[in-house]
Amino acid sequence: MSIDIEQFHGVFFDESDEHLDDMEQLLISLDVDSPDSEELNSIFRAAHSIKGGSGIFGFNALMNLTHVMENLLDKARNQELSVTTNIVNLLLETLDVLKATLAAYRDQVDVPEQAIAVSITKLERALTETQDTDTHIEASSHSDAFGFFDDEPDTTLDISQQSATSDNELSTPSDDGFGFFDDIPNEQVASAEDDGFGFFDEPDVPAITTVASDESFGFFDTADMPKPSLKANDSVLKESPTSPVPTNTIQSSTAPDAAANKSTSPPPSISKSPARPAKKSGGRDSASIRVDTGKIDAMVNLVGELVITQSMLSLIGQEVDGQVGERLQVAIDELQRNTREIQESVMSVRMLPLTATFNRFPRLVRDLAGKLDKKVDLVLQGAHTEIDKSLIEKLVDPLTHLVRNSIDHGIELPEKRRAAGKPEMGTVILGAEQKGGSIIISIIDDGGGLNRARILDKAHANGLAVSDDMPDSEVWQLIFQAGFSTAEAVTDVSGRGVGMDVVRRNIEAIGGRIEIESSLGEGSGFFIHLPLTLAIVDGMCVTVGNQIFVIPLLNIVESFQPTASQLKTLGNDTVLYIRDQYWPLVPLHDYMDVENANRKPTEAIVVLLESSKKRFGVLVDALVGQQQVVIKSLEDHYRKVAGIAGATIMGDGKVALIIDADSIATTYTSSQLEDMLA
Amino acid sequence: MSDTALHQAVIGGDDKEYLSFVLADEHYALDIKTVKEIRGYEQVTKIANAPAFIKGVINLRGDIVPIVDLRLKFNVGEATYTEFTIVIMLNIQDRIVGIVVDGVSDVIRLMEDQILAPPEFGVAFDSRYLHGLADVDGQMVILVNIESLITSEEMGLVAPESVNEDA
Repeated sequence: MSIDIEQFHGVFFDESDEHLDDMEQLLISLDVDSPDSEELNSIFRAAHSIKGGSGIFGFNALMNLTHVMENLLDKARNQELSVTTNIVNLLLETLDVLKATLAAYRDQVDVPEQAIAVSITKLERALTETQDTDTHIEASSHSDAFGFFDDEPDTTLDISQQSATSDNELSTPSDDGFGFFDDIPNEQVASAEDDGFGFFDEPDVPAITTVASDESFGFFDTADMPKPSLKANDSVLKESPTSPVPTNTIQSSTAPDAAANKSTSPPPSISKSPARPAKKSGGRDSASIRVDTGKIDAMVNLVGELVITQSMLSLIGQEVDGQVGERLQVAIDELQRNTREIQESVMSVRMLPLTATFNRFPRLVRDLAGKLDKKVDLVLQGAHTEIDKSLIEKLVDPLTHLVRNSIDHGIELPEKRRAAGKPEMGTVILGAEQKGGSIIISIIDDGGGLNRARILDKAHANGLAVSDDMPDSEVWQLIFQAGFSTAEAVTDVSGRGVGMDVVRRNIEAIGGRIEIESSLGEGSGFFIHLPLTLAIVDGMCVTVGNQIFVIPLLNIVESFQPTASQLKTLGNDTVLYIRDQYWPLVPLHDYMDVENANRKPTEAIVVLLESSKKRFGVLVDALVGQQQVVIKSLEDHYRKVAGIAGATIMGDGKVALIIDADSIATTYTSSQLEDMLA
Repeated sequence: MSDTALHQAVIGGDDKEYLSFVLADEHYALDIKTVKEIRGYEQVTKIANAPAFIKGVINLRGDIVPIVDLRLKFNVGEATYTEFTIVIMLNIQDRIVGIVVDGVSDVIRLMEDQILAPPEFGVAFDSRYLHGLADVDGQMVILVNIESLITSEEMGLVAPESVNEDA
């Protein structure tokens, strides 16, 4: 028994997280009036899986709480307890405590004992309340098999499990699998009244209890168990048939807890679905495996190399003439196709649907709307959109913040909405879609919209350089400034002004940008543009002098050859005049210090870029073509360079630098441009 | 480690191997354990606003590696690039850096007591990057402390803030 059980902790934590998420989603979607029994079963199974796992690993606090929760759920799914909104709320609260407890175990810090105790008490109360309405026929045989895990002292788990099972098999063959598959009700019509108790309490039950009339005890004492809780157990057993057990006993130790809970659960009818298939939530796991992301990253890197090698081969292949050349070309085409497919499938391994991320929001919206006395309907759209896993993790915080903002600041109170002629129920749409090489995640509300005047006032008050005739889009960007909040009062939900700048920073850190659309009284929308993946970028290759640069397509608005009339000079600098606006123009050869570049702008190409900060044009010699490039870090062996996001390797093996539009916008300094960009 | 210990036992003690190379007329040497490989000079991609002795970056089997011309850094000889120009790829503190030299001459083995201190003054070469001087077959060899040279701030190869910057 000296298996290093800790190696399974990570798996348990991951799985429990998933189960908790599943439970949360199911609870929220649960129709209180006519609960779907299959959904209740799923919730029960999730709770049960967590309990089983936590028992095995000795996470007693987690186990105790899930156990009580499970009892409640068991009654719910057996229709012995009508599910009310209060019960759902209680279960959701319990989920939060479970999450905190799980996190505490994961981080190896102290578990929130008090919160657990409170939750258990609350759940107990809910249980006993329903208990009162039930008839007390505790003495009939008990189908409540899930007690099995609860009463084992964690240290002797394996032994007890095995011995109990084998005993069970030997002595009562009709009871096959009984011990392990908790959700199979005990169909055995027990001869002894207390059959269930005897079986499950066995590890803790002292041998002397065999003097009881209960023959089933005798089967199991063969296992040599520690007998620490004789007294408690005994008293519980005595009490159980008649009265709900006081909660202090429940919290005092694991074993009486189990017994007590059983005692409080009502008797199920014996006819009830005895042959229900043991549908375990674990069955789903066969469809997926957990892989260390490090391995996937290594694979992505290797595929990147393969793509580069393949394009080198293509170049060489074009130089081979004759029959050999033709055959080579066929082979290279085949290779190219395979490479592309391999690349796509490897990238898709890293891609996960946003479902898991989105599904946490109904809960958040429900809680928040309740807290703020607002009526909010959250609509999720395009949750199946897939996005790079590394991006998902970093999206959660900004998204949470934006959704909270929409509800707190966007959606108005019902009275106000009614006065404005809008339905009382506000709508927040959380959507995701893929557009070309980028993912757009939108948070749209039909609330009051951003208040331009108030933002400008606040900007003035904060000493920001603003003018009253700034275009809307620039005014909206002001809310991303640090310390900027126009909320009239700081609530515990939002208004501290620390959020939006963090939101923008987080989104920029993952290569995205955020745009705002808003109209007063009608609502506002936040649009997050993200690259599909961080490892490969769709880029436009441009030449400057004899050097090639890659500009991410995400940043490019358009490109054109400027006419003399579009180019104006301002001091010594050239600015671009199109569509009635003046744009800063950055000559890339100047910024990148490239020789032999075309110095006549009218013979060059302007690529209009859009970064999260500014729009501006860059002057390049020519466009080469669009291409997917693998991003390589410059910092691995060198250092960060202003204006450069990274490097990539072109088909001929040469290195090309990838332009960082944000960085250029902030670092390109020219006396006049500085004023324009400010 | 046992290999090194065995090696030490066989060759008898505290000598080290150095790779000697030529810059103009001068002979230099560096600790051979830092050498990853030696290859010919190839076209580099220039990096904006870098000092002149940083020629740019190349693709070394998927790694983007900076190339430094030591002739420009030490201000010796002429920085010409032919098919015979040599680049020594170094592996220093998990970073790869290529240095351009006029030629690689030999692997030399020196005992610690063969390495002499340089004159205390009258030498422009920064003593921080100078391990010592040695006489090999009547030829003075300058032993470069390549690790402190490459990681030094004045080379600008390693971002000074790279340690605490994670944005």
